[in-house]
Amino acid sequence: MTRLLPWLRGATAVMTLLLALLLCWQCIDIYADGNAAENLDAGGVHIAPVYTREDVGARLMTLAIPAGVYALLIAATALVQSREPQQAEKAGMTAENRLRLMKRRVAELPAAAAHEEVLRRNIWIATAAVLTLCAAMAGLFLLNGSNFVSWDLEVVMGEMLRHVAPWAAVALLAVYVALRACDASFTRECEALKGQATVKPDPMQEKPFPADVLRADLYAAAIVFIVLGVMNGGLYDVLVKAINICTECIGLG
Amino acid sequence: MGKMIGWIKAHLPTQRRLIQLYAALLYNAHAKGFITGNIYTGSSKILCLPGFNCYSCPGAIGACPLGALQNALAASGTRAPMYVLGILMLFGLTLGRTICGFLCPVGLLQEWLHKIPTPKLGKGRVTRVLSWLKYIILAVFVVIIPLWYALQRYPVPAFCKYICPVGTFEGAVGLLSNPVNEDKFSMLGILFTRKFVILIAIVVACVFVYRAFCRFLCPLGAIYGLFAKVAFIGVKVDVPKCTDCGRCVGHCRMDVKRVGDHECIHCGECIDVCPTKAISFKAGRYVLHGPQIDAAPAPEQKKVRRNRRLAWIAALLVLAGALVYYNLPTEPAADPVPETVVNDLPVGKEVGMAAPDFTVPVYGGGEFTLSEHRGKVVIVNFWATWCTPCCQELPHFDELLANHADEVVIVAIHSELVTDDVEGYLAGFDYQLPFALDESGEVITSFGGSTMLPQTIVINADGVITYNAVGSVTYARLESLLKAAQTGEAAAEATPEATATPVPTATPTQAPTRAPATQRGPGLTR
Ligand code: SF4
Ligand code: SF4
Ligand code: SF4
Repeated sequence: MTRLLPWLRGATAVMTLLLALLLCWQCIDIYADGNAAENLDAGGVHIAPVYTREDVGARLMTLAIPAGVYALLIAATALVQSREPQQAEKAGMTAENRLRLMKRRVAELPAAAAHEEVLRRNIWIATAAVLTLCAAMAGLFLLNGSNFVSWDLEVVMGEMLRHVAPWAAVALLAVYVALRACDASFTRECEALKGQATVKPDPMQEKPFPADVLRADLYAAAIVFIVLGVMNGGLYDVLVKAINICTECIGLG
Repeated sequence: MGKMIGWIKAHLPTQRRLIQLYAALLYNAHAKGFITGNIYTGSSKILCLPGFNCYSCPGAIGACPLGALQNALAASGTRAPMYVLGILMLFGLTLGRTICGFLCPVGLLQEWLHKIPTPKLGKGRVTRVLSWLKYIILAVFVVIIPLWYALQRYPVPAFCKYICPVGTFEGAVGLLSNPVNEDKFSMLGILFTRKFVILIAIVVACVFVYRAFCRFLCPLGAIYGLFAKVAFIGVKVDVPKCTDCGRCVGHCRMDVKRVGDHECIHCGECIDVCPTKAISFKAGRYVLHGPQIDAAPAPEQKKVRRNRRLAWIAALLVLAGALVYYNLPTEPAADPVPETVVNDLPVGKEVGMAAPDFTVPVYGGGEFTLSEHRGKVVIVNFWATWCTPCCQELPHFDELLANHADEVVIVAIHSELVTDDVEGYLAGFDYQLPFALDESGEVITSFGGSTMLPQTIVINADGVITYNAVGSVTYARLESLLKAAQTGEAAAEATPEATATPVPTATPTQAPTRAPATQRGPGLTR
């Protein structure tokens, strides 16, 4: 049984992906068929609707067998899995946690550790610079109202994707690289701390944070906001939107 | 037998799972909506729900907080979004992301999807980095885009429209799966195709990655995460007891750096792994769940158990009450159109029937009476200032009128649900169309209108309906409908997005002004 389980799990994973691909493909294929030249009149208007209940139903029927196999596979894998002993959770301690723990115990930090701390600070300064640059470049587009004037939202979204997404990707990549570099630094620092004289750590102290005061203030602000909202008609707006179906919002068109 | 009982006990749902299930059922107590294929239109939708639940879901009894926020921001050209911000603050301050762990149906669905037995991708640097994506989505799609378009008095709930898989699943799929909504299939086009593919991609991600949508994409989770430090209820660490061993964080499947931070959903799964029993689930200083309770003397434990039982009984009574209240059979609405016959044709809303006559007041003065325009094709468009596709298609009607003024009469009738200063809105554009108001909602009802806008009706020169459908139209489509009404031929089918005609750009002719007063339609529900 134990040997069978990884195979079953793997097969379920493959079937998950396959079924998802088939579903997406059917959907895209319906759209492509509906927009084929034969279905458009001279003015570019569809002669027959792109989607019909019958067509969607028929296409879903073609997925009935893979869906049935998938359901059986899930049931079989779940059954086998339930008979296996529960796997103990991995304690998964990160290098950062390990380091924090060690640091609280060492009597004195060696020079190598101090060096790693400086290095990490520099890494974050460099990352902050990259993030600021990315935010500024994306902001140049996002905060320029003239980019959001056209009512042709498809074009606006396309432009936004072109101007903002690359900077968002660069920012996320920069954070990833910084995290990697810092993790390597944590590990090196842990190594440097090994063998150092230790002391009994003091119990941790709660950092003072005026949560109660802040919460009370924010509660008061929230209530004022709600009262003002009721008075300015915001409550009625919510109701009107909620009792009508925004066809575009849910993707109908 | 003993083995089996042990197995069953090990697989019983936890308290958290039961609360998640309870919340999902309560949010969607309008079960008959799944049978009738329509959404709930009663007054409880005035309230935002704490969790993510689309208000276009046939079962929903409350408003989606994220949809409400986007629409409030989109309307902020006329009024500040105070109510929704206040409600979100109230939820955040009281519960924070405990809502994600306990009260969000989408969280529950993701946890179920993750139970599909496949190899799983654990957390790591990549997921930690991706967890910041939701803040970018919040800033761009929920705040900036709706705000920019609010300045042009054009409502654009961009997250709903371009990303939200919940709207696609609960709203679109929920409605389309009912045979009653068969006609809605003709509205589907590129928007649905794209959103469906996004939905499937997110579903697959959730199978392999624990709560992928919550961790990487959900702007609502991002908002509640901002209240992590001040939320009244949630998992708290007794700091002096903590030895900083990191087992809690190692055990956690979210991208937390510390228990209770902005990524923590307060699921409480780390409570039992803490070797020093430093973690507990608290409301302020009162412990709701944690090692303190397990270590308490038997009578106190008994008291806690009794309180929990009482809370459950009360909650179940509320659920039962809600299910009864929201599912009571309603009187079928009387057909507002009298059984009459005009030119040998029955009067009604269907294509081929004689259009019911109506008179509506026109903005700027005067009235519009349908029967006065017999002999010409009449196009009636039902719209509202708060409806995105409605505002987007108005320029097409205007252009059609300009190009075919001799052949067609067009009237754009605003829904009786008025949230804006409609005249103020129209003053921002130089439309030549006549705009009217359906004061009582009777006109739209007489044409079969329900909870969906926009709706377009084409009536030929003899007063017979040749087209009546919900959904947006393009200029090319309108021309084709006009031609069909004139010639008596069948028009080409509707699917707005895919036509070759580009959407004309309507630019406001003046800067938006704050509406002087809020007009109220008389009815809240249809
Ligand atoms: S589409 Fe999404 S964000 Fe919009 S109302 Fe529905 S669930 Fe909420
Ligand atoms: S992150 Fe979003 S989807 Fe996930 S549980 Fe929270 S509100 Fe729901
Ligand atoms: S830190 Fe604990 S309570 Fe928070 S999400 Fe992780 S396991 Fe759940």
